[in-house]
Amino acid sequence: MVRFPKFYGKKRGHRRTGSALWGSFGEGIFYAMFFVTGIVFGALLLSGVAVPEWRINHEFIISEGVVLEKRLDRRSREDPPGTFTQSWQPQVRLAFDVAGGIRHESWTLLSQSQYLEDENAAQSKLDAFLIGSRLPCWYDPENSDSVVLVRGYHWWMWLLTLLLPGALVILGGSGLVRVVTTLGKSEERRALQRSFPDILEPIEDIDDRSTHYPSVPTCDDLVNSPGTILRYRLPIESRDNWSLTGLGVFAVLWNAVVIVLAINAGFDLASGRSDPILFALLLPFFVIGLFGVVFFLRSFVLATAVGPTHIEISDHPLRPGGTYDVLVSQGGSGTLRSISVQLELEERATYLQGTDVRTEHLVVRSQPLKRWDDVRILPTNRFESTIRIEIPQESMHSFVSEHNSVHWKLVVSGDPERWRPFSRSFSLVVFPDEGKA
Amino acid sequence: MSDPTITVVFDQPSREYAPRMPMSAHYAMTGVIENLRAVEQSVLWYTEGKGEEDLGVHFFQRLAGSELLKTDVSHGVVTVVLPASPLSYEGLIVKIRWCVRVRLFFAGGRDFVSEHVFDVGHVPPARLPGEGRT
Amino acid sequence: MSSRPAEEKVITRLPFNPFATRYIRAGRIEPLNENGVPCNIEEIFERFQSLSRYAAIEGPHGSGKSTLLAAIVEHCKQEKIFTKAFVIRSFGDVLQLIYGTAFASRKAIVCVDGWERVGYFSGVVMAIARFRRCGLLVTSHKTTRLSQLMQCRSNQQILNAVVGCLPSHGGIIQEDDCEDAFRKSSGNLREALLDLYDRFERRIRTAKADA
Repeated sequence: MVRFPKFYGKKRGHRRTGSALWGSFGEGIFYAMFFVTGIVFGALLLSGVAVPEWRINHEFIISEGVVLEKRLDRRSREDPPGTFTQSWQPQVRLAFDVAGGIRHESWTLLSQSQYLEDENAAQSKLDAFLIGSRLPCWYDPENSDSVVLVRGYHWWMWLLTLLLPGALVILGGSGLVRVVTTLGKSEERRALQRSFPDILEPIEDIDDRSTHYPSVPTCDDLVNSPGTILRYRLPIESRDNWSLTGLGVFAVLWNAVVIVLAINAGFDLASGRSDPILFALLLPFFVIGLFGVVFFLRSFVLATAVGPTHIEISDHPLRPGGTYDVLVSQGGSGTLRSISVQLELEERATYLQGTDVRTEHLVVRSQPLKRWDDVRILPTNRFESTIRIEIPQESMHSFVSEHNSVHWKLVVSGDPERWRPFSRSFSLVVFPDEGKA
Repeated sequence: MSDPTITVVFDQPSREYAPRMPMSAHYAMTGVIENLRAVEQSVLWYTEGKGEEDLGVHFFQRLAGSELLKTDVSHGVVTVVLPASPLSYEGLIVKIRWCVRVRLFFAGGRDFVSEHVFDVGHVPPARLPGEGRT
Repeated sequence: MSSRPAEEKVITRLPFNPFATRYIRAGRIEPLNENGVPCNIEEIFERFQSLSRYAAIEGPHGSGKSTLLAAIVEHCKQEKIFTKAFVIRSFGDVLQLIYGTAFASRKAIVCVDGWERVGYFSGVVMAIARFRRCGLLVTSHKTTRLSQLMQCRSNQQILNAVVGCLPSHGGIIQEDDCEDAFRKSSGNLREALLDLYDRFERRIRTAKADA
């Protein structure tokens, strides 16, 4: 959720002082506005659109109507000032029997549709109805003047009724709750409140090994895949996979737009018309789409050409001073000029740079563990080797908070003969050393 | 209005504690502490470095209203058993510091905060990239 | 006096880095004029009032626009003038700005950091603000259609003064470093301060290793 920016709490020299109450009051009003608008807007849509449509489908009574008369209702609109546009709506007058066999007459619309700007289209719709013809109609038992020829639901209307006011209510309501729960409270008190949900977690869901270590990431995702030789297989950190997926999605969506434009252009040409703007757009769109596909395919080939890398480890989580066996396994085919494994400690900090959000990564410890040269890999024979790693004594443990984190990882780097070098990371979780200070 | 002065004396003069170890800090206030509406004492960690500041509260106590009148707030003791993590860390772009914070709230919404840092654990400072290679 | 760590007898293995985000973010540093002297916020605010409360703080990246805006917002709060502050980072923020302006009270001042990101909707926000008769104060690194309240510019003197306002660096950062950082960051003070952060970290570690 977008948060209301806080400009107060200014620091002067060695102290920070200020009044947050005034700001929180304004923030409360701000969110209350969203909340109330959502409720009002929702109520209006519900009573004005959704309920009438629901009544037509559930409460209106079917009858047989006879077309007595028909007309085109004209409406003039001045937009822009000085220019008048006309629109038409076809209407018919029906005679139908209501409860008790009483004959009733009323004007009705052919559908719930709006006025049409094309008079011919409106007239052709009207022409489909012949005077004296009989057709089913539905009337309101509470007001017989209200009669319709078509029933059904407009899904977009319901979506609008739920989504727009719902979003406003959620945005306003959650903001209001947050303001009320933090009103006039210090950042320590607010931080304490944020940790309350932890207490509500069911006891059986809590990983006993990690709850003793606040702000240390859990290693649940790292120990749910058993290894073939060693105890656990580590998942790969897949930053590249996400960018590849993003590229693929972009290529598909962009080219879908190009195809739609091309089909339109084709129809135009076939009917002897030509839209210069459409044609001018089509060429650069096509070039970008082509680049998108080529770039995606190239990235895909590069990502999949070198076989998968697997890492297995004898235990997890790790401890400073502990030694562990690690199995390095590389699949695929061909020759690698070299393949190496490193143990890295990386710090990540997210900060605002003006109105941008930036994340800086910095490897503060990089320990080469092993390197193999001229490795031949066959599809039937993976490269496999076991090495021993030691987490240095008095090392920093893994740490994660909202904007800052410290990560341990194993990095496998390879230099294939036929492809560009690759580097694949596998996260580790290191628990704190609880030795004496 | 002049600010009060808050001094904190830790039970370990070195201000170094092992995780899960008890920590006790005695604080004393001097100076203008009139119109005091509330006092908050907390033991917490916060991050410092290039990233936006994060914090985690380990201990929090607020004295306000009648409780404040009954208590002599000019001095007090904060005693906690420290958690196992996070340990104090002197990274290059991420730093973790533990501190005892005393926050005073005055009439009119003005507040004053005093912060006293101590260490948990004994993680040596991160070395410069390249320096750490072995 | 509050006992900030850098001044107290603190047992940490390395000195505190005064260029950490904690100390340099907008709202923590006083806005300074071209001579490195603190700006007179009251005077600036009076000028804003004289511009019918529709104005922009303009200037390149890292020239102190957000810092000045934060100081004005702080001034308004102290004067009990209601403000609504928005930082524009995404389209969602633009929508929130539009709604927020539409429901702003008539005496309020809508403050927008990152006006250039509002794009085509800036006209909509301006129209709503005029209709609601609320003030509009924005920061932008591009020229806007609003009257210019202040053109922020960075220079070496300002950077030196900002460094002087931060907690003590204990002589670890020299004037040459400030000049070098300012040159390397092409006048972007924020980048220059982050550069000084890195220098400080390198220096203290090198000094420790030498010792």
